[in-house]
Amino acid sequence: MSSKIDLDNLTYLKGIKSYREFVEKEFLNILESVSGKKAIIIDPDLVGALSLILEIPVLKEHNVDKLIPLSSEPFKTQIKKLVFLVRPQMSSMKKVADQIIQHEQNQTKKDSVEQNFYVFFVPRVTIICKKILEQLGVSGSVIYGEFHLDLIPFDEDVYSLANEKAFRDFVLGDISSLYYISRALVNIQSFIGIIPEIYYMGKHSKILSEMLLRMRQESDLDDSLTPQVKYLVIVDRENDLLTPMVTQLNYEGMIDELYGISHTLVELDPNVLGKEGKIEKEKAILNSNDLLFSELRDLNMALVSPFLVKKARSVSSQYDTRKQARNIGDLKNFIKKLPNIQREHASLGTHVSLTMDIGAKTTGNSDFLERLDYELNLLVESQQCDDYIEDCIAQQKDLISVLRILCLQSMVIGGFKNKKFDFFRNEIIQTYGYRHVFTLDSLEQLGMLKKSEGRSKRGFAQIRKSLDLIDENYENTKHFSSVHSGYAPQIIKLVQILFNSNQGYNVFKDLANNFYTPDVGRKRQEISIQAKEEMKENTEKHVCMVFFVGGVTFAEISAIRILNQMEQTGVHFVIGTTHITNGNKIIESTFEKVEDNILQKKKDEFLRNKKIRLREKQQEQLQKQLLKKEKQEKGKKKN
Amino acid sequence: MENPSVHWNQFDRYYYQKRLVFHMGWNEINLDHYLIESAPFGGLIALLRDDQKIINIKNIQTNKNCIFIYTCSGKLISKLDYGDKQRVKAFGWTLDEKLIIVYDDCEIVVFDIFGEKIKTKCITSRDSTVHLVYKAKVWHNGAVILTKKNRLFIVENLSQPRFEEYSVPENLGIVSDLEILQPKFSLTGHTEVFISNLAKNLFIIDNDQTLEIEFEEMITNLKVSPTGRLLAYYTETGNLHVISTDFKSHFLEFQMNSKIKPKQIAWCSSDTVLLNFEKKNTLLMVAPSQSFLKYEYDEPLYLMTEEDGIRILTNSCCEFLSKVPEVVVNIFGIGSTSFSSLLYDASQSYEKESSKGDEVIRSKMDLLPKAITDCITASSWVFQRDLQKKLLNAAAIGKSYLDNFVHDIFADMCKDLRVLNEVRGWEIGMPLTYRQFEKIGIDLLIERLINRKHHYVALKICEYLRIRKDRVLVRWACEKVKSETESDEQILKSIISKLGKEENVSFASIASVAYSESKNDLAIKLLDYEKSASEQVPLLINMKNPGLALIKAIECANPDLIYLVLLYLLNTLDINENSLFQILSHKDMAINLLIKYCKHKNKDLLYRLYSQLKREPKEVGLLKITESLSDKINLEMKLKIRNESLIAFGVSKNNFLKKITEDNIKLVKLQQDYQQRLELVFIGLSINQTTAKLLELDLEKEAKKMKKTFKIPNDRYWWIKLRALAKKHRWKKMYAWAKNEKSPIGYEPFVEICIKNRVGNEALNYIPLVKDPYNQVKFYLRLNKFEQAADIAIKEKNQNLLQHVKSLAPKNLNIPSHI
Repeated sequence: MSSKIDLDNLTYLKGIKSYREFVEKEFLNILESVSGKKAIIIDPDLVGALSLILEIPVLKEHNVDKLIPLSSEPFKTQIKKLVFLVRPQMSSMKKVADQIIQHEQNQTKKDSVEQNFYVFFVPRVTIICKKILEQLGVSGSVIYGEFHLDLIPFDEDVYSLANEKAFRDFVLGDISSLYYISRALVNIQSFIGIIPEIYYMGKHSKILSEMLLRMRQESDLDDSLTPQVKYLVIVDRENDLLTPMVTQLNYEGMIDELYGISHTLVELDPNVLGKEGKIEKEKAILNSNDLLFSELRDLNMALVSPFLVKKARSVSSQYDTRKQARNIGDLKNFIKKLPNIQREHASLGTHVSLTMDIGAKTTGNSDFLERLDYELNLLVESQQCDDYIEDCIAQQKDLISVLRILCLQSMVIGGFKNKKFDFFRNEIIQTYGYRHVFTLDSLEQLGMLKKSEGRSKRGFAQIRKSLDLIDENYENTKHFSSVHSGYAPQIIKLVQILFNSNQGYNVFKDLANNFYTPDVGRKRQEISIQAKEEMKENTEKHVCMVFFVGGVTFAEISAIRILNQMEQTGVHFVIGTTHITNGNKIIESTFEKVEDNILQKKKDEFLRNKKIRLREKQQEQLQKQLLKKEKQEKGKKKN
Repeated sequence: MENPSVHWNQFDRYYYQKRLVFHMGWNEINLDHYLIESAPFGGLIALLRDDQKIINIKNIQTNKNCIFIYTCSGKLISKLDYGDKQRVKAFGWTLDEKLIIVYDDCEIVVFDIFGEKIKTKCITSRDSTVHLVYKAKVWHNGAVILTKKNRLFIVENLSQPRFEEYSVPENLGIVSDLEILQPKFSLTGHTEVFISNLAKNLFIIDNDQTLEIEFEEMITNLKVSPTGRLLAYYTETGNLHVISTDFKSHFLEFQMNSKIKPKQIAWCSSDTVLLNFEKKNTLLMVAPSQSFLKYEYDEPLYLMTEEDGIRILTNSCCEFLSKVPEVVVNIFGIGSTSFSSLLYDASQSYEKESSKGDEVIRSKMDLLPKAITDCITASSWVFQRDLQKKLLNAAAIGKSYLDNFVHDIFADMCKDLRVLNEVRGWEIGMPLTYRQFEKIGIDLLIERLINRKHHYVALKICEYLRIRKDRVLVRWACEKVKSETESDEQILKSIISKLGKEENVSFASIASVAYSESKNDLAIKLLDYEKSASEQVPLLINMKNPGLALIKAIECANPDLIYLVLLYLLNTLDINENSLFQILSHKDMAINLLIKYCKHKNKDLLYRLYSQLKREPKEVGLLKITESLSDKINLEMKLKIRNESLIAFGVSKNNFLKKITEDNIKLVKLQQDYQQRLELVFIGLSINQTTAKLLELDLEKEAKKMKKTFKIPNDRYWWIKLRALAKKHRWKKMYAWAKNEKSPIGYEPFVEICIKNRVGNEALNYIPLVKDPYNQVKFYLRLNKFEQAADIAIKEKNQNLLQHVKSLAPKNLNIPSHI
């Protein structure tokens, strides 16, 4: 099963196809460069990324015998050539080193020829990782390389670096990933042309835009290519951490909230899709190769069922055309269409089952409805819900969901009063554990959870009013606020303003400066006169890539797609991002990883065993003593 | 001028010409005393004295351990001293004329022609046994070594050399010859090795299998053709065979009926095989048709196969033997009637101002374009300049009759021939044919010229052909930097005047040469001209200037370069921490990266860094807590570190953190106590979890103590207890509790938890206690108690609710429809 998106009929950004082919070729060349049979040991998160670039079965054709997820666990193999494919994260290096050292030790001493270890870093090798490997005792017998898997086309209009750790790094104050984002954006410009106009908003975006210009100087990008993207708008996730806390209510966003989508794949319990008797999870691909899904993904959940009903009717009427066939010609026509109808039928089946399961988990679940109610009241009227949150903690509900609503309220009302602030934090520590001091501290640093500083002029209420974020009439008009049932994602709203002929850059800049960040600006990249001319002659809409530094949600992606259909702007938007995120992932990225759960169990077990052993020993001794006595008695008797 | 065809020899169905290319410039060289290897494509010649030959004693001392490198014209380039510790077992050339040497201890070294080591690779063996070379063979990008203990090692890529071992058949025996099929020619993409032995076997070995073929007689020589498709072998009884390298076809068997072993067999292109019978002073050329041609020599010779012919080297001259191409035969062949021949003749008559040519050309205008291109192609084959001119002139005249002839091929040929004539001169001495030139390309040619330090010629060629010249300039500058006669100022000035305006010039590489010549000031000045930081930074580090390196690295915001500097600083002993902090001050990006690294590797440094940076005490406190959560330290240590963090939180007036840390310390102490008493794990649990565990163990008193100590709100305590009781299925206890005390959280949770645990009957106990009648109805309905639900509705006098209940209830139940 391949999640590779079909790029044959692109209207915009045609260069993406050759870009992806280039990346695929690069990977196959890497495989070729390691001759003979080989095993690939891969960062688990890269498997998904890889399958967006090539069909996994192709690996077999290139002598890849095994695909093993990277871990420290030892495994045995006869294969002599081990190819590691890893992200340059310090924490993964230990695992790489463990594997290499284990395999080196397993070699027989007689075998004097070097074992072949190859470590390919994705997308780039870093000095620090090589250094750490060295410190961990990996000798010089390793060959290093790079696989420049930068932006990956998740869909025709979504390009992601699939770097799930980007936001976490920012939380920890490490902005080095900006450099690699910049490299990726420079790299892609050699396929889609230089992007002439850059807008940025946010401190990271500012640094990134400066890097882009500098790197262009250092690289020899061809400026005669006709730019396929005219505008690049770079925004920081950190400028709007409120929107991801709101439950996504478009179809794709909802699926992500409930089941989690990873690299366009969703794993479902087999019973969700009505496949009883199976144990393994079913995977479904969610991209626009599935035409039905591409119509569904942006719809508000309330509209999904009616749409499916309509679709079902249309499919069944298509089947019925067979009955109306009057001659062989008609029948032939029908048979021609049949595969399409069948595909649509299958897809319909999947989405109907999925929608039913979602229904049971949402509209059929009072907890969910209650939660949604509180959320909307917060967003629309800033109505607080302290009691609800307290209840949730008392009931020891999932911490992530508790923090989501807690942070949402904090951001909406501009922070908690002193006493309340300490109360909630204390409740959380007592309930969920001491180590969450770091979680709370990170959330505080991100401004997601804070103490109020009196009435702020830049509060959410003002933003709501100035940006006109609430649209109660979203159901009747086609508006992107439908993705959150009436609340418009702020960044998308700002992008709309930027490209609105009545508002434009100055209004955008004022609003952004007022409410979000002092770092707002624009920059220009020179292109050749010929390229300029060619861009002018272009009759299609100009393309704008909105790049989210730190992640974008599915709701926001859908909002952008709906914005494209609203035709208020003369621009076609596509999305670039470091990764696709949601409220849960953002909250989770503030957790300090302590693996004490597993340890706890092990310790428990250990103690229990110790106890049992103690008892056994005692019994043994008792028995021995008894035996001794018996012997002594016997001896006495004999005597 | 005589007709060129007088020098042709008809052979087989073709003509061959043996051209004299150079009279050798060397003196008193007797090829017989040397082992010889020459680079392909008219490349350099390496001479190594043959130990087994007796030569004049006076030369031995001075030229011991030397390889002499000459051009094809016999001009000495250098004497390369390969050292006296090892013996040379095989040598050869890369395409860009670097010398590959395989020593007797299996070390492979690539030298530049002036003796600098570029790459060294040795077989590293775990048990440090030394492998000794038995036979070795080198090709332009690799080598094959057969050791004395019959192990076979292959190196395939000399730019990243790695040894691969092939398994060797046990019956290998004594080897008579060894030959390689390069990976680009083999079906598997791996090097194939052919080994013949005295036991009349031929082994074909590749990375995963060995094929063994038995022959009727012993093979003495093996030679693969330059395209890799054919294999020539010579047997002990004087039979020459040619077969395909996939061993599927047999093309030639030629009987010499002589037991004399040829000194060398070689291919002329891939067409014919030459046998060098030095003892008989003959060179014999054999064609697939079994026809042969004999050349007589009265001096030793060395054969060097080229793609399109063969170079023959003797003590006195260098010759080139090749097939005469058809286009040339058509023009100069005796009695040729081809139109190109007529065009050539016509152009000659033009020279003599005769109009006869004009008529000839006009007679067959349709054949003219082909004739013109033929003349141009032919000019590419000839070496004499006047003949080239004549042919091109013929083409030019023909061209003037046509309006639409594409001029480019003519112009390109003129340019290429000028370049070729330049390098074919005695001074450079590279007899490159046009076909060879097409094959190696201009880049490699330029590289060769630079390697030989012909910078000026290389530069002129680049300018003439309008190709990038930065690499020539940079390499020139690198040589310039080494100058000992000029001052730094002069060197810099002359480099900048030539390179300052060029794009893509790597000043860093020039600077690095300056540094290695210990001209530091010059190096730094040169580095200022470097545009790319990734080039500047490593060099500045090498030059022990980490401060400047860090500034440059931060300028381009490349985390990799910043880390490079940081690691240097951390690993350099002569830099103390104070100067580290000094270099880092106000460089946030670098500091953040260092913090990240330290969190991973070096916690102690981190504390010092924090105090140096005057970070908030809160940060220090949090850092301590992180440390205290690590699994690697014991409990006492954990508590100790947590106590230390309290101080930090106190200083920073962070009351909340202080309080919860105090709570935590209290908790851990309590847990320690429980753990000892109950022999169960408590440490690691939250306050909630601890309380719950106590309740699960029926230790109500202890749980109450927890509640009091940590001021657990009543609501939450009830929830904890409720869950704990449910987990242990203590339904009776739960009911007693609910009856005795008034629940602050209502009784809905009781009902819910019972339903969740599928004890419906228990749930029924609590429904009457639920305050909200709607909820009561809801619960009854969930438990399918429709009558009770109806009762409530009636009691509440709610007709709609009753209707709802009735609609859900089974028909057989007697639910009233009105109140």
